[in-house]
Amino acid sequence: MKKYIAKRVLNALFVVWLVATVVFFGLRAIPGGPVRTMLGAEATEEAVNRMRAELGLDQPLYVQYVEWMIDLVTFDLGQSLTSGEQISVMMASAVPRTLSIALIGVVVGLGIALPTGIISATRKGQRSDYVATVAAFLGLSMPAFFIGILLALVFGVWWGVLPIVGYAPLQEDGIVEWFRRILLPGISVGVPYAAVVMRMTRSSLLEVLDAEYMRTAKAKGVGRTTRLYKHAMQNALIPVVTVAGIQIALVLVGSVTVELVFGIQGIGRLLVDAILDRNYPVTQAVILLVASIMVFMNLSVDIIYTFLDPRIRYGDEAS
Amino acid sequence: MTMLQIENLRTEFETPRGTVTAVNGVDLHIDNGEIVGLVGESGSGKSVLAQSVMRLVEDPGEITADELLFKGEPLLEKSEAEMTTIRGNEISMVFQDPMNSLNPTITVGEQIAETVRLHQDIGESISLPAEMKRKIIGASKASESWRRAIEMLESVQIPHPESRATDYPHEFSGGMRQRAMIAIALSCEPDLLIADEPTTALDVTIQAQILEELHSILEVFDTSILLITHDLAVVAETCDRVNVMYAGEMVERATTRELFSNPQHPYTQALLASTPQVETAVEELEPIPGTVPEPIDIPYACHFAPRCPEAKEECFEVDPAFRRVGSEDHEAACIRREPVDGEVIENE
Repeated sequence: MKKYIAKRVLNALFVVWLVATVVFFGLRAIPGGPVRTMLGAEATEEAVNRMRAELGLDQPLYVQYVEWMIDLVTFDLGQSLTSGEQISVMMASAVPRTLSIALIGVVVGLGIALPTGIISATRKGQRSDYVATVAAFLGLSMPAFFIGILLALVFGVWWGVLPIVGYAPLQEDGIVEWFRRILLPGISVGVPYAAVVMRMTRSSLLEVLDAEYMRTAKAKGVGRTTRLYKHAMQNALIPVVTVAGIQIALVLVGSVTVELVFGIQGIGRLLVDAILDRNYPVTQAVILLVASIMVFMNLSVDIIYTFLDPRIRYGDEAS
Repeated sequence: MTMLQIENLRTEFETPRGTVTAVNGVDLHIDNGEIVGLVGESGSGKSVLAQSVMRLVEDPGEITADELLFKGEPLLEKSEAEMTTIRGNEISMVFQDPMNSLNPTITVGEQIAETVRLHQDIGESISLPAEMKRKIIGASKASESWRRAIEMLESVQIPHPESRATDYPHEFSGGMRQRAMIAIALSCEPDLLIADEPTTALDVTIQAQILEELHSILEVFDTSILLITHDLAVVAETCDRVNVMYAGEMVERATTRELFSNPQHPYTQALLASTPQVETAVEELEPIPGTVPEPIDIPYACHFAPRCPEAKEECFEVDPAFRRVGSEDHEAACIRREPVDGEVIENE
């Protein structure tokens, strides 16, 4: 297992490097550079060149690339081109916001998806199944930001029970205020996620309920509830974990637009601004972070497998 | 005494394409300590019949019968809760495919121990929290149920039962898994064991061992067995009496010796002619032309008529009632056979 994890971590580092490289060159292939964006169309050629030299953008691409790589290895993310602020400082403020939203999103998502998936599968073809299915497709077909706007309208504007703008740091304003601020954005990113996971839970559980070993359990005299939770659930969760892990990406993507709706300065907001400004180092840093999160989620999914499925054993353990 | 008495059992499935009558008015009885064979091609309704007895047929399956008596008690009148106390305890079942019939996420030992716990009064809780706890942190190796599980594994010839009990099914070979299934089925010393093609998925040497196992069980536990198979060799070796089923209906029944020496129904004859036999290896095997019809509104009276070499016009029109065609309760449902006692047995 240790050997396996070491192998996977090396593999993950490679993937992250690959993403970093693609992003680095990809960004520079987009027309219009940061200097032009900052100085505007009327700036003289001379001013532009001076600025480029100042920011080190006049050097050959490979030199810039190697320098950035060296910085990365020493955990130096560099500075924002536009504000000169340390990117690590910007991240330190933005990341907790996005992670808070994502956390609520995943908790809400799984909290909705697993019970409705189970109900839907065990009552296949009945009214509750249809209701859950229609709700899931509604959730799937509405983008997170749209759900955010609806929620803001209902809970913020009509009922006025929850704030709809801004974020309250956990350490400064306490857990209640923190929760009140991220609940709506969290639900917004959680609903599409719930829809995907619910559909997977339903189909996976349906398949398991039909399996021959479930008939064996019934033939042994095991009661209905014990059959569902003891005999079916663990088998059914194996594919659900895959989807739930990979679809965290959906939550993060949703967070980008939802942060705009709720005026929260998270990494989504950071990324959008950075791309518009052609702010290379910030864009690179944010994408690298998201890629790392995804790689980490994949690894976690594979490790959770070993607990769910006794047939899966990695590396040096006997099979 | 009669262990199982079935009269006019029908199992129907309502489907969008029509009503599928998988079992169509079948009679069957099994005496105490008997091994009764049920043979027929794939699709003849053998497995559905077996599952109907235990009421394992899932929606939209509908079981009706004039009589479905187990030890004199009507099974169709039992509640689902009452059935769970019978299943695995008084009637148990071994399935065809040992690869998929065991739960891949539960240790073999626990799958046996669970059955023991469910049906025997050994003071171990079978509440959902207790069962989930066993599932997640493992069953107690010191419990009575675990001890019984190891005992059962030992009695079905699994080597090193103490350590093998903690294995998962994927760590067992096919033959060992079927032994484990048998161990589960026998853990509560059932009165009736239904073995649905227990050896079909296994290779021949393992088949022989499993059959031997079934034989010795009968002696030790005094269990009646309903053995479902399409393998006539297995029947010849194991069973006291044989029932032949075709397209949801019983077509012939006799003692094993009588059936093999004097098959009467054209379907049974065709089935025997299509089975390789060592003594008559010279002749070529004769396959039965055609396939078993899908049991949706079969329009002809004798379901075998379209494939039957002896079929006449009236075979398609007159219901083939059972008649005595030989010694010792040898009966066949074919109007082309003259009843030896001149009587046609009315059914329905």
